[in-house]
Amino acid sequence: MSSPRIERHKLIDRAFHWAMAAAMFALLITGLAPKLGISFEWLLIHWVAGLLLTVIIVGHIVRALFWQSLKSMWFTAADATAVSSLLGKDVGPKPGKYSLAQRLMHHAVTLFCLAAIGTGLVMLAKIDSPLWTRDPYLISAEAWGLVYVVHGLAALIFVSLIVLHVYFAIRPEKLFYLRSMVFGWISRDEMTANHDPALWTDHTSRHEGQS
Amino acid sequence: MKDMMPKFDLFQPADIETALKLLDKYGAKAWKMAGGQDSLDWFKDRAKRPDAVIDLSGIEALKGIRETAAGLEIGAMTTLAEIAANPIVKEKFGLLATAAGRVASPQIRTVGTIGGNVSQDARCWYYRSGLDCYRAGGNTCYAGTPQGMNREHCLFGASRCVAVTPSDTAPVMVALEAEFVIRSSKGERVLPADKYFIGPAVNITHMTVLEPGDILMTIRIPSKWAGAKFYYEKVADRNTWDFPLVNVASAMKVKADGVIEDIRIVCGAVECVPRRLNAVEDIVKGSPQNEDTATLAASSAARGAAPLNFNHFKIPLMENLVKRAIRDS
Repeated sequence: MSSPRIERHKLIDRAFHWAMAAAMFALLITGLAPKLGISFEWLLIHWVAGLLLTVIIVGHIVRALFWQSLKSMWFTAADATAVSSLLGKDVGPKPGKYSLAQRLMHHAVTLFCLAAIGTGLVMLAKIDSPLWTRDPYLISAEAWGLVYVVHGLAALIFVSLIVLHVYFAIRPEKLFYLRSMVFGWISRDEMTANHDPALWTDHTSRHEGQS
Repeated sequence: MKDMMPKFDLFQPADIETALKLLDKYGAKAWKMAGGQDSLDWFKDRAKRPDAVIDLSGIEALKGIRETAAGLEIGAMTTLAEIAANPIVKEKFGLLATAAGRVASPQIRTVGTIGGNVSQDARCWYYRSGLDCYRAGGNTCYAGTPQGMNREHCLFGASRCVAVTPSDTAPVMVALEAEFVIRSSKGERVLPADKYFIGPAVNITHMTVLEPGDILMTIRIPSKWAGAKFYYEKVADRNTWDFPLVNVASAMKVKADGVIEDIRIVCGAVECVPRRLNAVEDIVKGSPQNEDTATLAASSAARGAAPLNFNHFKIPLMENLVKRAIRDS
């Protein structure tokens, strides 16, 4: 009999994750491919995907604030112990629901995603759409320069973050995390081997004893 | 315009292979020069500063007009004057002869080439002045602003940049369903005319699909429209020597009873690419060629136009040109 299942990600959170991933891939492909010499009508797809990503991110923030445990994403004193243990090549204490690396990745993605979205929303003022008329005088020329630099820099850093994220998602010893982002669960054995159940702040068990 | 060009290395290859090698060697730093009528302006304005200029005028394979079983082949380096005076072009594709004869001035047509004419860059004032606009790789369009000098700019297809194709012969190529033969060191590819020209939504810094390593070799004109009823008209501020405010090119087949059997009609200088008027074509096919049909067709010519502050006049101009093209072919 296999280990009982522990719910790690609810369906709505998985939907948010994959919708975000799809929007980000659409944004990166439409934003970067023309720079690599692949010509196509990218702008419409780009700004529509950008608006979709904005809506998804806002939904995620609202959900995180009111329905999820923000605490699971915070840094604690135990993280300092974990870092010093790693430096000493010791195993160190087990994390709660998210490891230090996962939280760092989340916060880096948050930072650069918000930078790209914030500047991208301002850049919408440069184009006409059925919803608004462009206003290139919205901000000064110097400010526009800054907006473009931040947007481009955030996009390039995003590429690195996604490469890192995908790399760790498909490493054999981490595959159960990828599975949990698809099916929602990890086994109790995987949980106890990698996490401290006492620090796992918002888990609910599901199908325990069924599998 | 300044009086001295920045220095560059000048190459004058005598064959395609050498030219392609040079283009590969210098990449985006190379400049392909056909007749040189636009190139030298760019250099003197110091808005373009290539490391190497590849003068294609010594390559004989790029010159001449040849009649083939499929139609006509025109080398990209054939001069506009030669095309305008060629008896085969005049007999079978009078539309092209007329358009070539309306380009610029006699002196320019004697040196300017068909390849250079269809591939020429936008004439937007701001872009030509060397400003850092979208088309020059920047992040602003100066012409599309409320105070911008946009009298000559587009009615359709603006995507940040509002420049138009200034070519007199490009609409003809689309109307005649021409094919463009392009070579690079990777091989040869053939594109229909309407795929050769690209708008800012696809690539905001290019007017055509030509990449740095590409050379436009030949333009093939199929015999499909040979001997059809043609109409070409160009309206410009100065008839002696100017770029079009709007031009129209149409090829039409009319049955013995006067009913329009088939038509292709294309306008230039209203979009970044030659604008094929599909709605007009659909309206007039199967209708008699007369004033009523022309009036009806004209009313749909500018459907969807989004004029800028100073180019509203292009809408009635375009409608009238289309009306005349349908009625007077």
